[in-house]
Amino acid sequence: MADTSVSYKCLSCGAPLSFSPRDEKVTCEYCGTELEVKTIKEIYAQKEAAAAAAQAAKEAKWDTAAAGNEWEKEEAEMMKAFTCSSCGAEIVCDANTMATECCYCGNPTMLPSRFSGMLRPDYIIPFKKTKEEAVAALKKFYEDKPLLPDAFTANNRVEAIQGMYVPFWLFDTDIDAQGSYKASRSMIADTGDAIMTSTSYYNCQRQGCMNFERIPVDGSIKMDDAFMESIEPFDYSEMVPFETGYMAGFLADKYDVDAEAAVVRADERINTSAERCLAMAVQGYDSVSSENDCAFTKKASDVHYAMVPVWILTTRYKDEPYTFMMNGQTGEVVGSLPIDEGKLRNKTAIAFAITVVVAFAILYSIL
Amino acid sequence: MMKKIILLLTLVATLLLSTAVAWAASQSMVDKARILTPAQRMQVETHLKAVEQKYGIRCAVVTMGTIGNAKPGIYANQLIDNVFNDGPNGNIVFLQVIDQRQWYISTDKKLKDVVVGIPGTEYISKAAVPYLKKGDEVGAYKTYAKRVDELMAYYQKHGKGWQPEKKFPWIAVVGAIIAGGAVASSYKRSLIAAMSNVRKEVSADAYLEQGSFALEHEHDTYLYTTVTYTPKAKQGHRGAGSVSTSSSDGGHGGGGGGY
Repeated sequence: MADTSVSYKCLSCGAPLSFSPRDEKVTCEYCGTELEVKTIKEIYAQKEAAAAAAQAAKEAKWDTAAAGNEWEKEEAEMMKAFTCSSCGAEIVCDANTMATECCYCGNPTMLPSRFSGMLRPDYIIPFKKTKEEAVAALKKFYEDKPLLPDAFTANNRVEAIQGMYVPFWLFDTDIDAQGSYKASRSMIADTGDAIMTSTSYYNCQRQGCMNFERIPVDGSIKMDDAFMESIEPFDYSEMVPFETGYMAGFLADKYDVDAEAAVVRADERINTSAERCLAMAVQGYDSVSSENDCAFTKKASDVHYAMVPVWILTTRYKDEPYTFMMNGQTGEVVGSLPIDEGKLRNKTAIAFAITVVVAFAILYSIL
Repeated sequence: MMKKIILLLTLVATLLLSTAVAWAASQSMVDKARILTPAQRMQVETHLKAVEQKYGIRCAVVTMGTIGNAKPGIYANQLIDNVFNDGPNGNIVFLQVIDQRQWYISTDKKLKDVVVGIPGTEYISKAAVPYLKKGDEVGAYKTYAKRVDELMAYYQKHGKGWQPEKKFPWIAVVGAIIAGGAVASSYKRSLIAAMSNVRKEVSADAYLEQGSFALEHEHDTYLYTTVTYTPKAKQGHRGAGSVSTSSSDGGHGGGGGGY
């Protein structure tokens, strides 16, 4: 029976291969063999096809047997088993996993059936930051945080660090937008014993066109949208056509939020930007406020499916997990740190005391 | 320039005083403006003498129809230095200038500790000046004598000049607490915010193609106009009853104002 997964092994020594962000090659950490991504693609294309076919066959068989199994059908849909081509162990992963590593032998493993046909990404942004750089960036992220508990930095160990390719939808669009704004213009005059302020109000209609390029919306339910939007932006000039070779050594999920569902979030962001652009075209007034009726129509649009690199770092403090994410391309780290309530109380109390003393001195001298 | 003006005014004051020196030094009620009847002068004189004898001070009242362009404060100080300067325990004079509708209370160095600054002067003027406004000069001068009596009694009892009791500054305390609360609350929020940089993006500004925006249509419609008037703050002026200590110096105390 053919393998349902493909392990990227060194052609020279058989050790696991992994993509090296530094020199942008797939390397063997054991014998030092370096291979171009293109070479890997050619070598493993056939193996991947065979593995995909084997998985399809296995799933067909599994479906017929499902009626008498102990798993519920929904559970079975979510939990899929693959055979590690290196050690033969059964790898169980969820329905979205595209690349993982065998939990028994640690072999980087691709699941080609997960990126065939429409599921195959158009682009990939390769990792540029290494694991060591991710850990160093996280430590730097802790610096100068006034409320960070001392014990958090003193005893901190990064519990888990995973490089992961996250599925993203990239939206290109040319839009026509229109919106109305309330604007005012004031005139001030001195009438002798009073200051007269005359304010005239106007309704300003604006219509314009603009283009957006590659607005990213993450296509993974399990990745927090706020985290994913916080690690933006990505440098698209380094984005390349998708090759599985870049995923060697990293985890990867396929999307589980389809493009139609992701469009809603992209539209929200486009609408805000269009409203701001049109507001800037309302000139010659002292104040401008939106009537919140901005609307846009798409003249042209295009959607691409891309995999973007994210380092996920997990640490633990007082039995609570803290997750941080780093843009695997730019190195931007995002996350929420624990707060030392004692430090917060002291600093707030000091600010209160200083302000009270200064304010009292000023008020006492005035009143 | 200012020094020359002050010198000139002082010369005028001295000139006018040269006639005043001729006043009987024993009189404490000197009515050069002739606004009191002899009986009234005697009545006031009695009150002043009583205070003078009680405390060993000189407590005088002088009315002047005019002092030219001289300042009442400088003129009153000259009176203390040149005329009413024989009180063993100090000297005080109440000067009323009719044409200027000004009054001034001047003391020598000794009584400067009794009639302390603006509060001390106001203790006398707030009681006496209202009588001047009503045209009751006798009432004003008698009140002046009475208040000097009270201030002297206070000084002898406590060894220091009378000062109004300071009220607890509740407004300043409450205001300071409110300001402290607002600043501390804002600071607390900023500290907490600094511990997380996870925020949703609200716009797609970073992905707007540069130079792609083109305005295709604009139309502005006038809606309405509102007009508001904000009264100007009145220019502060020293009204009747307010006290100026502009002529107070190292050797003189007191202050004055209009009525």
